[in-house]
Amino acid sequence: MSKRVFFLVPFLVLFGLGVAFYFGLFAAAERGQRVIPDAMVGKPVPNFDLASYRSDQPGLNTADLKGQPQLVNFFASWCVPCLAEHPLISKLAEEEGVIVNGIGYSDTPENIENWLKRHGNPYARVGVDETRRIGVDWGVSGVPETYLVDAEGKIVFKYGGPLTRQVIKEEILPLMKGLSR
Amino acid sequence: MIAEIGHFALILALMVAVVQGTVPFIAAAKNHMGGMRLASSAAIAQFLCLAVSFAALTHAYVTSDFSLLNVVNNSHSLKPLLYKVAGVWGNHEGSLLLWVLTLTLFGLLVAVFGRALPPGLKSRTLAVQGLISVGFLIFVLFTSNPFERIPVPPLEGGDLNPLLQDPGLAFHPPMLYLGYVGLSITYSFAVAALIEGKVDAAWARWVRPWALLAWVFLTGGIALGSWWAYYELGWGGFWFWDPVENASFMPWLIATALMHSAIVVEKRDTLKSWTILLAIVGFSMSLIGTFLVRSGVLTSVHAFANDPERGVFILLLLMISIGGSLLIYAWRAPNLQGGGYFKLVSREGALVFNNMLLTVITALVFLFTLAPLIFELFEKQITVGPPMFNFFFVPLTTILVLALGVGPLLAWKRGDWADAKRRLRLALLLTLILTALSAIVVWGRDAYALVGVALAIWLTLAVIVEMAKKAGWPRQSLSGTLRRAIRLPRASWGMTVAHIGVAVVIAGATGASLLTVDKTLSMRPGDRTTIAGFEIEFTGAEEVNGPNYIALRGHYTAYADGQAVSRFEPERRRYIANGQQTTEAAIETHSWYDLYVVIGDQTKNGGYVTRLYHKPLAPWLWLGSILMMLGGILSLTDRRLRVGAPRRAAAPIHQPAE
Repeated sequence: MSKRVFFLVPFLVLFGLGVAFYFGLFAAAERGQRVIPDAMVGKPVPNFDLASYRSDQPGLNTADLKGQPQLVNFFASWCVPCLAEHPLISKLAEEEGVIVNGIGYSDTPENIENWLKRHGNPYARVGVDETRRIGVDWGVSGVPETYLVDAEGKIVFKYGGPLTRQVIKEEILPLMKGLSR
Repeated sequence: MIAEIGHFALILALMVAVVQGTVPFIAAAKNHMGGMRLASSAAIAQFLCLAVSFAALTHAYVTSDFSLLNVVNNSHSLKPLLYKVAGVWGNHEGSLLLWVLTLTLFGLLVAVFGRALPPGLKSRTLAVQGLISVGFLIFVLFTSNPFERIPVPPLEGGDLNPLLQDPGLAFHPPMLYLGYVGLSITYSFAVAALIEGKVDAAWARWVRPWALLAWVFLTGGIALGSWWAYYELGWGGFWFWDPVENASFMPWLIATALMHSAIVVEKRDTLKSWTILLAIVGFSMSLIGTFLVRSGVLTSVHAFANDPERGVFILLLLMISIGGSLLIYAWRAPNLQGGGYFKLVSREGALVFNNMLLTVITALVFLFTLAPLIFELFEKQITVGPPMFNFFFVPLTTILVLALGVGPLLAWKRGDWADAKRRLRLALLLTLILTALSAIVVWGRDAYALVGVALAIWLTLAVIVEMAKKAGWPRQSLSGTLRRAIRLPRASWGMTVAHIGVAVVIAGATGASLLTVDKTLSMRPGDRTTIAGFEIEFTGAEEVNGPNYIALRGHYTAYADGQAVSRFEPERRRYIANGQQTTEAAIETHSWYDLYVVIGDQTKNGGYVTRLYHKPLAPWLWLGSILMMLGGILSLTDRRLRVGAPRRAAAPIHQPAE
């Protein structure tokens, strides 16, 4: 009989382990929740200074993003979803009075100038990041991508993909309102 | 459309697995031939379903189909093709799919190559495999479906973790999975044998090739992972005792023990319940490894997703499969009759000693790996670092290697201690002389390194002595011994090559960890510095564009005696999609050492942080791993494993030429 109990030992060890793992899982889940979802959110805007698409147009640099909350929108003339969100951005700038800056990503100044001429230019300032160097610093994964920067020049919100009415209504405008107060 | 075919094939596979996991059991109990044959057909069908499913997911990755959530999260259209394919298994869902695909691949192999197996054992083994499949397929389909679509597909994906975009790592997971999952076969064989209540020499002979095959792949997988860490993480280490490394190392240790104990069952008909237990524990360690990676229970660089729902599911799967088999073990194993009697000093005795040491090492690795988790339950935080692992691992391995030199020289049943001593006397003497010579070479570096060097030399010489004994030395002349040595069975050669591989790995590990010289400094273009007799000049750095990253590339030239001998172009890459950085060390490999250069951030004075390493014997780590795998493969091709009756005695010398 005692010999049989001996053969039960592996099972009992496993049982103990199972209990430990079970509680460990919830500790792990708690730990996981403390992680910030996006690396750049909560951090100051990276240092950069970009020229515009034409020398007589205002470019965009780190200092321009201080003083009041504003949006930075990464776009490109080759990007179809950018065109899709363009009317919404124009509306934000014209009707809601939000300052929107554009960064033309992986694109030439000529293409950007033509594109803005054809579809309208809602941007307060435009920088051209032809080499993608600045986009890398911002953590851009693709275009379009929109960042909300507060008055101190800190990134408070990031949205990847074309903006939608819902995101503007439920996320961007309430955040903007909170920041301007 | 293609994604839906993949999804559908996955559901079909689950249905086939349910049949495979139930019908053959009943058929085997009733001795119904047709029902038992169904197991093989089901195993083949299940593999085909999964192959279709896997091909569908691969297609989605290659064509960058961003309407699949899984592809969006883990791919990017700019990614090179190799990493688009590797991206399939570079994430939780896809890697699980690969896991199940591998599982069914082994089911297919048993179905096709297991013609000689008794129908009862074969169908029960495949049925156990089917049950494992059921569990994992449910997990994939209900909690981790890789074919999930999203309503608004974005234009671009989030890219694969750049650390994983590397040729070494592209093949690391499939290789490791072949090993992990290969152990499912020995597990299924063990459970089937417990159900049948019969474990004999024939059983051991059927199980051993599978254990060997899994071991070969595990060795390769671990070596690839270690190689990757060595050149990609940029600080020249090759083993960090990270929880997930340990999760692959523990099954390897158990598989090593299993390979050896199965020999005892085969030749001497004893150690049965122990061997069965090892077969169960080996696969259990693989499952626990999967659990540790997937659940985020232990914090590790490898964790994919912290999702308690998935964690609880895997835990449940773990408890049912391992717990169930251990209960059957507790019920059936006491009835297994041990056969042969043996003296302490004998081949069996030596193999038992080997098993004891390997099991103790595994148990300690296990405890130390889980220590942070156990302490966390009592609201305490601890971290267990490499020094604590080395504290027990190095001495225990030393004993293991010392004994490894002697063990193969002992005969079955009753070994001749005096004969072994006589034969090893010269090897011991030579070891001392060669170690003393190496002491002069590495004088003033690290005294412990000499222990490693001595062990490697000792093992190599002892292996040669054993080979010579088998080939008839000293009764035969030198040429006669050589001629006979060539004609020894491949299993003997396999053992010899694998054991020499162990010696080479020990030498490599010693060199790469204890004898390394390193230097960290800031270098400006034109600066020169010296390391281990080489003069290194930094000629400049530039920014270069890769397909999906921007890199800082440094240019260094190494001079020996004023002559330029090699150039180095280490990189620091910054990936466009998520801004993550990776280091690409530049390594120049020579037969006796590696020169290793890493470029870091720019410093205030216009220089670049540069790290230089001279790592003696480091390339031997990979060479030794290859030798170990080669040994396993040689052993696998031995005709005694393929055909023929089990032999009671040790291999006779006059084996017919192959």
